Amino acid sequence: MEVLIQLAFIGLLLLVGLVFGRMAEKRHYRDIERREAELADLLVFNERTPPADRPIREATLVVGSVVIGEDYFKRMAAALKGLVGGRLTAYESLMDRGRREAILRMKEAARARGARSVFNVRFETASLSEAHVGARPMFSAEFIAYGTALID
Amino acid sequence: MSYENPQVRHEVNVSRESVLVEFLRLAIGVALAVLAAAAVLYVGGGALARFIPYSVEQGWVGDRVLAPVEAGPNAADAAAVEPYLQRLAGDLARHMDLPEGMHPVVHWSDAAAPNAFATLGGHVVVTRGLYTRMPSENALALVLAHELAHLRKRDPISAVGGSATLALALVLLGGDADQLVPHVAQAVQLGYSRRAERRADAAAVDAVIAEYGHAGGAASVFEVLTDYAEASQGAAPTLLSTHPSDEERIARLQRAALDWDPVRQPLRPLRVRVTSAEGRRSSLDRPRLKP
Repeated sequence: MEVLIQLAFIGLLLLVGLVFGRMAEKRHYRDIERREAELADLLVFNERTPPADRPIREATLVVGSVVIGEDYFKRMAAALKGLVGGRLTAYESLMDRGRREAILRMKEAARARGARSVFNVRFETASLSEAHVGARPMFSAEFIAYGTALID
Repeated sequence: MSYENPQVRHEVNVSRESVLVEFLRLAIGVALAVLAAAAVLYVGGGALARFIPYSVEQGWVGDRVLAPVEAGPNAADAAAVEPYLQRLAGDLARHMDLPEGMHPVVHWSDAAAPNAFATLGGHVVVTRGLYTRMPSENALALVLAHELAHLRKRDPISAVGGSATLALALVLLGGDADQLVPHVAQAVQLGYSRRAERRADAAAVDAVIAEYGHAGGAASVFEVLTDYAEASQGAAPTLLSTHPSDEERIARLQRAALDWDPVRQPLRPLRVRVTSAEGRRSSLDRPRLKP
């Protein structure tokens, strides 16, 4: 009997993770797409040197960072995938959202300073494995996008 | 130079296959694989354990396996009943073709819950709760024959060997698989224990028929156990208890006793009377002659 109850409990957690995780992810993606459309005119480059023909009044560092964590369903899906190997599709959307959100926040910081472009954009991704839920630590990653905003 | 920022399909970085579909596919596949592996390990371990000679098993275990089972404050009851139980077990064992060197010893336990089990080293234990609820010697004989059948097939050491093999595999697998695997493994163990129980049931019926000439009165064992289970907590689901559902066993025994004639083949009463834990006399006073 306890076996069934334990399995049902895990199934319930999975369902909660799946439903609320999907909802949160969809909402986040809608938000990302809206802001990307708003900030489309602010260009970001990974080139180190801006074109010589543009006058630059001011240049400043801008940083956008975000921490994204997994939900219970993603954990289980990744753990299972860990047995057989292959692409961790459960985490792909998580990382994609993180990267795009970090760029957007950097762009928002640049726009707040009145910049029209950001050069030398770099990414840093750090995994924060300090939260422990059960045997495996909870997966969460911090994304930082930083660059030089050119204000002219 | 002019720059543009066209909108692109950002889904390039996310796989198109639904995560849920992939998860379900993997979960079912892994569960089946784990089930198969656990079954192989349990059965294999059990089969290997049966090769351990009985004399070695007895030497290892001795009487230590009975340490938690005590005669209790009423040692006089134990002294009265144990010889009777031993004689009955001996009579039944003659029909059961026990291996060379196997001489089971029957013990009395003061526990109030009805239970009987066979354990390592050829020891069989019968509790007060069971003995006082037996309506006839025929019913008690079925219980003893069932436990002797377990001993004959070396089920106790097989169960220990199978569980130990499975536990070892789980330990070796380590932290990776500890979410799903224990539950599946437990299900496998319960399945195979039920098979051993069915086999012991069949052998017990044969022994009882060989001893008494009929299988009458034997089904009442399970009626007693069912009544006790319902009185204490409600019937347990079949899959999750080691023993086959009692209704099945009652039906099977009733089928085996179809040609029993209660008049010309009367049931034998218990030879030794003992007070039950609740203070009632043994059910000698209420003979049950149903098949």
